[in-house]
Amino acid sequence: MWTFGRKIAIGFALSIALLVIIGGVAYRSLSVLVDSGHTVTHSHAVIESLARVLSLMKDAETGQRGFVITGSDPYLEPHRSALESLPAELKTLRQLISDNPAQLKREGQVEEISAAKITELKRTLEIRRTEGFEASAKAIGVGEGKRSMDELRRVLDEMEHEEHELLKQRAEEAEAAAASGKWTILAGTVLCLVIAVLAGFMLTRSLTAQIGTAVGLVRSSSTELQAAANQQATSSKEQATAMNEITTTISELMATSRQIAESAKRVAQIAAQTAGSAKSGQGTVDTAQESFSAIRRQVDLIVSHMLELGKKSQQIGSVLDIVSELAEQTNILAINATIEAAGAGEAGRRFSVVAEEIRKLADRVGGSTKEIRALIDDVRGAVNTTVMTTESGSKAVDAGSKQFGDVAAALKQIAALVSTTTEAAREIELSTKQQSTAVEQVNVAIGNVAQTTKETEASSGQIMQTASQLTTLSGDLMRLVRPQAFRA
Amino acid sequence: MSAPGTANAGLAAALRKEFDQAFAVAATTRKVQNTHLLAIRVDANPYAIQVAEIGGLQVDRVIAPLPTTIGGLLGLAGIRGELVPVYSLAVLLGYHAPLRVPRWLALCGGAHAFGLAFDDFERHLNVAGAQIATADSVNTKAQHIGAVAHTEGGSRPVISIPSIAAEIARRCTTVGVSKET
Repeated sequence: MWTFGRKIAIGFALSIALLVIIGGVAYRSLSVLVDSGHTVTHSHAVIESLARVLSLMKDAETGQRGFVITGSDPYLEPHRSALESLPAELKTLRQLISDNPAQLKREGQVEEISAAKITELKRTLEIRRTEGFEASAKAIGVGEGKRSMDELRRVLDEMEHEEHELLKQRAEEAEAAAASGKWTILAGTVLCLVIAVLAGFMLTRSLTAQIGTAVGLVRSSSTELQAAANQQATSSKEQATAMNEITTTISELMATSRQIAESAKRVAQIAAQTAGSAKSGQGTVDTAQESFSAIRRQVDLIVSHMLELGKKSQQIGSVLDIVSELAEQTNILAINATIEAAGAGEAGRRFSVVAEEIRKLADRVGGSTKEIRALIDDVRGAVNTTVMTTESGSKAVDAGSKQFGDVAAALKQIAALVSTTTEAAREIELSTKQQSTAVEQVNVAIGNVAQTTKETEASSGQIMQTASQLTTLSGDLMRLVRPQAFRA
Repeated sequence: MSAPGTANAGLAAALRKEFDQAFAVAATTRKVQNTHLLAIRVDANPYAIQVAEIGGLQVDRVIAPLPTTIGGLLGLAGIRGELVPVYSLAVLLGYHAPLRVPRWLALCGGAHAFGLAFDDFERHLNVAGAQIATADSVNTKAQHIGAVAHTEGGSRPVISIPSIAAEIARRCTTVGVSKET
């Protein structure tokens, strides 16, 4: 959607562009015409110079004829004057045609012919002075001078003809340029007029439509604004009522907040006392845990001693095996000694008594070793039972220690939680105080809002009045933009 | 703890007193009225042998096996610098041959010594003469049993070593006759 400024700018831009184009074309045509005027003037200057050259040559010949006929010097005056002026005139002619090589070439021929003619004139004049009229008439009669003049006229005619051709050609170019400029200006003006009319029509139409639509929207918006202002006024009244209710509720909330703050303070105090008790309990548990550790060390020592006792009992068993083996061997020896003593008859009787006693001792040692083995087995059994019992006790101590550790950890956790609870209760107390302060501020703010609501209510009336005026103004504007809509 | 210690101390004192009294009695007044027996086990059965009928008791002797057709001959053992044939007492008493070599060995015989191997030696028995009954009186039909000793542990057959020696001689003779044949 183009804006108004853009549309107007585009219309003006098109018109200005056409004006620039037309001006450029006109300037170009005028330049061509001016150039053509200059070239025409130049061609006329060349033609005049050619005429002067021919005239000077005629004057030179006329003076020569007068002197030949009369023999009087005053008749030579045109001749002399022409010969003096001719070089300057030829120079002027050469400068004028310096841009045309063909004309320069012909000018060279003119100079040659002129020189030959002047030589011929001077020769006949000398003849007239020295030999008289007849001789000079005879020399002229040869016709050399006439041929030179004829040739000079022919070359000058060619040059003049050339200049006339150039004049004709430049005149055609000037005419064509003038016609082109004329048509361009005419057509451009017409086109510019058409574009200006079209742009004006389209701008008028577009602007009318858009402004009409906008005015319509303003009109409907002002109507809606009027309705909204009505609604706002009603809402403001309701809001004022609600604000009163909110103020009452906030007052109750403030009272509740104060009660919560007091409760939180009491909770914080109780939590602090609980934290002290938890710390005391933790100290007791730590002491008990140290006692458990000491018991554990003692139990480990007992187990170690019991295991050592078991090892010693095993060593006693090994020694007892040796003793038992020795008793058995002693018994065998005693029996063999008895046999040998019996073989020795009366002489071996005393020896048999010794052998018998040794055998008895061996028997008793064997019996005692069996009893000792039984006792050692009992001791080892008791040691094993003690070790197992002690290990069970050690495990129980471990379990108790672990449970005490758990209790200690739980107490630590309780202490930490109670500490956290204390902090939380303090934070709650602080937050509740802050909340009370905030509620008081809210109460003040609500009062301000209520005041603002009243002001809003008053403003709503003004807005309604302004919306009504805006509706009237939009109707007037619409009447200006689309009068046909109101006529219908 | 003190009661067992006191009891053991009393026992030791009694043993010492008995030992001293044994040597306090004069040797000439001592009369040999009892019979010395060795309580043994053959194939788990209780037996006894008279100390007077054997020449010695050995234990854990190495017995070198010998290829032979004589029933009960286990091999040869080196005892006191002599090679002694060792027979299984269980086989000679009519039991099956033992699965393992018996541990105990009773040395018997005089100039022709031989060993009788048996499974277990229990104890030495000093039995009064009244406690020993002859085989005929107890009406036993078992082989090589010369008497029966009645002890606190029960009755125990007393093996007759001379009968065993005769059985060995018989078996050796039988093998020698068969070889000659």
